[in-house]
Amino acid sequence: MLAVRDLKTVFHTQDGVVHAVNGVSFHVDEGELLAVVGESGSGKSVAMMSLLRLLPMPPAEIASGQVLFQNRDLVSLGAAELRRVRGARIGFVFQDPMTSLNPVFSVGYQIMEPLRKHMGMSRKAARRRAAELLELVGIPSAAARLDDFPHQFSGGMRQRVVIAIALACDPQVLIADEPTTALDVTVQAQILELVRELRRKLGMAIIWITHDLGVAAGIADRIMVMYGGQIVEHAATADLFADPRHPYTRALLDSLPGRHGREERLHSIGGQPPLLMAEPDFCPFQTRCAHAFERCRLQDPPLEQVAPGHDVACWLETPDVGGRRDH
Amino acid sequence: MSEAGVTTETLPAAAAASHAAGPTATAGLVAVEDLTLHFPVYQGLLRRQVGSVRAVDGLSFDIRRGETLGLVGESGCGKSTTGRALLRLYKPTAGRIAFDGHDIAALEGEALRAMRPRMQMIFQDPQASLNPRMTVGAIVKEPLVEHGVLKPAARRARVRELLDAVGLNPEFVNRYPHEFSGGQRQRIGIARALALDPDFIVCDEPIAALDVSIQAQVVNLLLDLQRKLGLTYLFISHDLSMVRYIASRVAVMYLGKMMEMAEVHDLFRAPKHPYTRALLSAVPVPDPKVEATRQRILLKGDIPSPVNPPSGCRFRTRCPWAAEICADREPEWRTLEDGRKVACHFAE
Repeated sequence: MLAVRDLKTVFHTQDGVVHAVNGVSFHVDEGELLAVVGESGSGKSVAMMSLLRLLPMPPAEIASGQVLFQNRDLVSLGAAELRRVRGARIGFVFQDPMTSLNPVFSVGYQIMEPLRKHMGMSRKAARRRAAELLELVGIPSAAARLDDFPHQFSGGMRQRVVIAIALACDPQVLIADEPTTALDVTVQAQILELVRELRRKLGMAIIWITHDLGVAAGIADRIMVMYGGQIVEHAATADLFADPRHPYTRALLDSLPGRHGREERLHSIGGQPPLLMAEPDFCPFQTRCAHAFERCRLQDPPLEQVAPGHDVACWLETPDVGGRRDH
Repeated sequence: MSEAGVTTETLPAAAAASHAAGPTATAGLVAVEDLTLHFPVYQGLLRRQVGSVRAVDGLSFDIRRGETLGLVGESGCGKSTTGRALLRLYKPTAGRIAFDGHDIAALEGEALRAMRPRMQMIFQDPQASLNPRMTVGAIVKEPLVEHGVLKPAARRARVRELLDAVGLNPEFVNRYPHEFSGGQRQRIGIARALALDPDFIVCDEPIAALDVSIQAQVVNLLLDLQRKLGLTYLFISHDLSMVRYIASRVAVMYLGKMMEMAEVHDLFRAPKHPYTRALLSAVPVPDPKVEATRQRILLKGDIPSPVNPPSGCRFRTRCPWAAEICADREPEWRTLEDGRKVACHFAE
């Protein structure tokens, strides 16, 4: 459905070039939910925003890579053609619904906008479809609420409106960037249930960006763990939790309370994430990794398959690849 | 009260005196009775009061010396307001707050100021709670200066000692907050809270703004400090799995009221209040096997407005088990056989 090859995104800042995304390759299939997990600065949001060139350029620049969607490369697509893909074939849901909704237009107007623009619907048809969409995302007495403004909805209901807008033109791919992070847990549970239901009904591919491994465990088919602008591990959800291979994934799981009962101390990961002021020619996790050895400081490990459908970028797991053997 | 760092002589007279007068170590450090905090709502040209936001509406609970009481609930339930009211950052509309045997609910001026060193706060966003124009040394020293504790040379030594205690390099005293990472900034906030050697610290979502791997560092630090200094914490958080780890008892709030309060083990093993059950069932578990099989209680609708809360039980509009009595009569805050407290007609 959507395939990304060797994507590199950099930011030109006053202090130099920040290498935010360094050679990310992945794909997502029809009807599948791929979760992208990582901490702040891991490059997960920047990578996904790059797919639709949603970053301000400059300072951002897609240094290399391809984003293949419907036999076209979105990276080299013209602005007008890209606009036809954005919001129509690929929908986007952001973290904070209040910043993605325009406070001075009614929600009905905002749902109708893509319908009229991308689908060329008449005002009447668009309004009917907008009411259907609000009902689809579980807003009570949907038709009556079309003329309400965003501030008249609660946080959870606003996020439902944003999802309705993203779904308006029947997208093949939905990219959701931390869509439940700003919500309370009981509201998050409602939204997650809605997404499970919509997947069954609509069968689109979903890329779900989150920092919460619990959320990913509950909804994802596959999980991609990012660190320092790279994919460090990628596996089917069950495999990732049953057999995490990358030291970072393991440390991340260990730092969660309750996975090993009420032990004395939480396992924390010392140190800080890398600054990425240079394109790393070493493993980005090596400064915080308990198992790092010389090779980790000299060569960046490639993402290699260690089991069917399970890829890891770590020299401990794949000592024989990469040509040179330094130890 | 720990004797680490500042000795009793260096504390302000009033605080030191209250130590001597304070009750024995087994009694509660904080005892709250019917705590109520209403914020007036004004409207119209004459700014007439048309109602009030009933942010906190009649809470009664206690915090034991040396324990961590977890306070959980969703946004707008009044948990932060409760924490701030305990520290007397707000003046309660009604109710009693006994801190170490002294009622502080109505204290004013110098008498209140004299109590302040014993109760401190750690804020959610270290970025917003640290003055960007002050050095780390000045930030941590400020409470000592403000309360006239120690001589200048001793203050400098105390600041270095505090930075060391929270795991920061004491050589960093002259750096500014922006030179630190989020986790390190939270450590600065903790050092500042410890400066006056308090007994009680309200931690208001202290890890919510931090990444998972950094959260563990800060939580470990808070637990170490508690063990070393005998601190009592009120740990306000929406992260139930972290509360389960850090707290000894947990109180659950909804719309300005307490729904349930129990030993952490009892609450998570067998929640009695329907809201607690719904809340626990909504927490995502980082285990796909559990996620695939668990039963969730999905709540319908949204939290009602605290200006005009539902009659009777406040949770009844979203409660899957609500009956007629729930609208007619407000459930009593009662104690069950196993010692836990709950406000539900049907809990047993």
